[in-house]
Amino acid sequence: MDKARALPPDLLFRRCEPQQFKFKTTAELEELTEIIGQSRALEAIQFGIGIQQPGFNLFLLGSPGTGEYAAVRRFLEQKAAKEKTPSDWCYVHNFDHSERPRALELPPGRGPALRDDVTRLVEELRQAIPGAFESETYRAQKQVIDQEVKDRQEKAFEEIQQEAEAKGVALLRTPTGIVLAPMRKDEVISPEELRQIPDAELKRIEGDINELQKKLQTALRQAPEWERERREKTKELNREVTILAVGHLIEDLRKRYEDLPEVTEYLGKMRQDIIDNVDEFLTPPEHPFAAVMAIPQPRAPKGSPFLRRYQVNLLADHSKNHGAPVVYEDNPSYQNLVGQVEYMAQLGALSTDFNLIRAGALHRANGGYLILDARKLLMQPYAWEGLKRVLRSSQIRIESLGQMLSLVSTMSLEPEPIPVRTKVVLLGERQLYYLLSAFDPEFNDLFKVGADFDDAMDRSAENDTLYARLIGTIARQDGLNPFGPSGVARVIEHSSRVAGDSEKLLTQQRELVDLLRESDYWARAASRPAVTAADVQKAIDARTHRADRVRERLQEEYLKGTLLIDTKGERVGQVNGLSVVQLGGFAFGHPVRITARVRLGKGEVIDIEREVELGGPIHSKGVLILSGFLGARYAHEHPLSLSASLVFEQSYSGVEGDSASSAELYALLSALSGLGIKQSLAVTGSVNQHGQVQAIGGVNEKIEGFFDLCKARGLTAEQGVLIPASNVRHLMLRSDVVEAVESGQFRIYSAETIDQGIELLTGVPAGERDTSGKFPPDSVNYKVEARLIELAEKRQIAGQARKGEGET
Amino acid sequence: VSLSKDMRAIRRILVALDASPRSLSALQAAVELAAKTEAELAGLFVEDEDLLSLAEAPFAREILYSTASQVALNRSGMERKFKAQAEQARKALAAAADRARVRWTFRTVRGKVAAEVLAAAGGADLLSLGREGWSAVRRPRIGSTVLAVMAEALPALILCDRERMFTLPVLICYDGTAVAQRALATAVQVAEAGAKVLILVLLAKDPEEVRTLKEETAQLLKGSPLRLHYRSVDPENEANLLRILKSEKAGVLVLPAGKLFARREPIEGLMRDLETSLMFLGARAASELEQR
Repeated sequence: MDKARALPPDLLFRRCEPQQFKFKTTAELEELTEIIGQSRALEAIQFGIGIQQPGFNLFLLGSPGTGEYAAVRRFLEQKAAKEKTPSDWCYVHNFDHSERPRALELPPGRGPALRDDVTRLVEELRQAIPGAFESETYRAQKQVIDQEVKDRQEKAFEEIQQEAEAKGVALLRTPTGIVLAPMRKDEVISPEELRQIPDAELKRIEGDINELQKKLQTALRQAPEWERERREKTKELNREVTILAVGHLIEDLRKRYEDLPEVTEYLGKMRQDIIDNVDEFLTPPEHPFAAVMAIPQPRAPKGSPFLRRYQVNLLADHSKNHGAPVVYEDNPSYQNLVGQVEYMAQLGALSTDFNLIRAGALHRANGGYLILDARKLLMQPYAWEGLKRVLRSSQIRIESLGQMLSLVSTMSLEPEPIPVRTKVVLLGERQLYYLLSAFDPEFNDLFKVGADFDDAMDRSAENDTLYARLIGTIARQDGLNPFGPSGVARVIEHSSRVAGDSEKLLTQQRELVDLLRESDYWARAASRPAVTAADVQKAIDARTHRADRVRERLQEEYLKGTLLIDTKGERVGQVNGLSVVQLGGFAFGHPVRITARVRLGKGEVIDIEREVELGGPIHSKGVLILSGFLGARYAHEHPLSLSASLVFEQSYSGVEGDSASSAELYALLSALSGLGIKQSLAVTGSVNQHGQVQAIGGVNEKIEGFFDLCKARGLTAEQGVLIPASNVRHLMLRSDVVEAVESGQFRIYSAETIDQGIELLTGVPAGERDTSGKFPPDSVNYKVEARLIELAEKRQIAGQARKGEGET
Repeated sequence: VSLSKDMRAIRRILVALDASPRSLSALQAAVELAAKTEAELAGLFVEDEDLLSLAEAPFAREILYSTASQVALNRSGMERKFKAQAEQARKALAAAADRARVRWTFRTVRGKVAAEVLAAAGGADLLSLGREGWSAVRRPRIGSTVLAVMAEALPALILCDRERMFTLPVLICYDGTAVAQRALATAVQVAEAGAKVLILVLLAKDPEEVRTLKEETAQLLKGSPLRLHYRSVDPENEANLLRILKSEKAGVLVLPAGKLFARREPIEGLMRDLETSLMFLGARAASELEQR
């Protein structure tokens, strides 16, 4: 059986040699435009962008800060620049249904032209129309119409009046009408006189009056009809005058847009509407909104409120764009995505029209690409639903949230939907992608392409060079000092360390950019034109120092003996485990005392952490595996008759993970065998039921945690850490640890099996079963088995005794 | 001779009111004139005795403006209508006068309209009448009231258009008589309150007379801030006179009594063709002037 191996220093840290770089500083390096180490994701993006089928929108999976936004944006912009510039879109008044504004599509650049043309037209009409109506010819024509009606009226009444006079009857006005009175000598005949008139004469008068009354009624009834005729004629005259004033102006415009049938149709309807509403051009521009009851009111928007209907609301303007748009919406709320209809307050009431329709990001990105942050999108109420609806229906329908949820039923605008063809690119964490994929049935239909961004890439000479270019590019973009070869090398080493793997490099740009900026700060502080390894190291140290208050306090408590950890001597049933604490962005390791006690029992291993609910499920799983291991290895022929308890001493918070399971097993084996465990060593690693030691996370932090304590107490050359052999490639240890190992003051061991480990920890051979199935005497396994057999026998005796008692 | 302060004073204006829109518009003009001349307004509403007695006649029917339908009349119904109309007129007067800070009185009398107006006009310097106003019957025809006023030669103003009255020049026919001088004084007062332009149409048979009249008026108007324009015409040539009067765009036409304007037809002609307010000053006005 192999023994646990003491690792040579070169396995503890994979150096990046500055000599491999041929540049003096990164300023010499070519700009890096592609995304490095993400070939899978890039292929997916290329595919997703290239394929022009519905539902092939992209979801970019990556940890925050992997730099996918900048990279994707750059990528999309390059592609979009070669694509067709999409159409301009305008909303205009719908002359048939004013509540449903019409959407007009125009070739790029012609949207603003139409808007300006129409604005200019209305301005011209505001001059031309009043001019036409103030002209002498118009006045004369209008007077002719008025006079005609007047004459007809006068003639009708004149005739009646003359007839009345001839018959001796007067027309008299009353407050509410007209009465006909018989006259004599220019005086109304009094009732007394009437009584004296003979009946025949009276009858005649009455007859005359009745007849006149009927004529008068007829004339009066005709008056409104004549008035109506007058209005009609005036209207017709106004129409003709307007057509003369307006016609050629609008015609000119229509000619300019004759290649766009929708626009010419709109202009045609506009012409008719202007003719029908010509009065609006005649009212003074200062609308009576100016003051109501002497209270000044907010100014109505430019021009008469009525004339707003002739404006053009330019929603999507691509006059200055070349190629397809790439839009990133930082605040993807529902309104910011699909647009909204705004309202303005007038005299305390809210009103709106198509001019207040505001474009959303989807309008701006129509015909191009829309990049959104998935988390932000999902956090905005209804934004996700809104986006999906647009993608499903391929059209943007502007509805307020109230309308969408049928919460309000007040009348508002229903702008005509605009067809949309845009590729949506969502950026989000993997977790979000998997959740959406699992729980939103539409998600997989609408986002068919997932581009999975890796957190790390392989470390190789080629990639080191690429990384150097990346560093150079970021330094240039952020205005940092260039990095020298040593600076670059140190950054690469640190990147491996953060990636937790000596064979990987971190691709998270956020972490990298922060380190570069901090290093630049220290280089500038030291007046160095190029950033060196020392500056990078200073940045790393300073960052650690800023964050390690808790670690220092812990260290203090170890040294004062408040927290009990032995770093020398031997103890039975006690081992130094290692755990990692993550506080914000900073992680550190520290030793934990793990103890085991054994007594006669029913074959159970009690995890005290679990009993008090301080242990997580994975931790519990690790402990239960120990029972499996013990039973399988030592209790073939007799029942496992121990009761063991395991505990993390002085642990006051939750414990999770199985990285201490090997340490627990060592403590248990020590307790069973009665052999002491060297306290100068600390242990990490999980174990399976076959006794194999398995890899764990945070190996560097754990080693450094124990090293720091040992160093503080004084290195003895006996101290060291036992790690799983499979973790060796993750080692990127601090330089002081590596130096201590080099000088033989500290050791790192790796073990593949529990047997290798226990041998190292106890200094006693583990022992293998011989052909007869026995462990060699004095081996650890022999002692453990012997103890278990002893316990089993005791249990048997105790059981029989109890049985005997029961029988008597 | 010059225009003394007393001569010029319009101190009390009698306004004959009904509640028709035209009458209310005339009221506005009267209020404005009163405000500008610091005169007092006396509102008068006459419940027409003729209409009341007519309402008792068996065949009395009223044809309503609003519906052109016939309704039977009776005296009490007519009285109620008058009452309502008088109240409406009073309110209109009160509102307009208060707004312009003009002193005012109002009373309602019953009788023949012309007689009552004339009786009330005795204490007034100017009688303001709305032109006969019924929108359908547009035939300009002087009502009996106006005729009676003219016959009595009371100073009277027949108001037409408030706007024109204060923005356009005042036109006066002047022949040098005492009445004409009195009329000139009033015309000056009205012009000063308005557009500050006075057009004098001198009624003279020959150039010599024109010169005399011109000198006379120049003397009378010495120191006046008004801009003056002169026209002259032979008073015998009635058609020519009417043509000149019609051709001048004026806000008020001031007509002193004389043989030309004793007749109904030329006045009717002027009223038909002009949108101008008319102001008559008869012999009685002149005699009052002399009494002062």
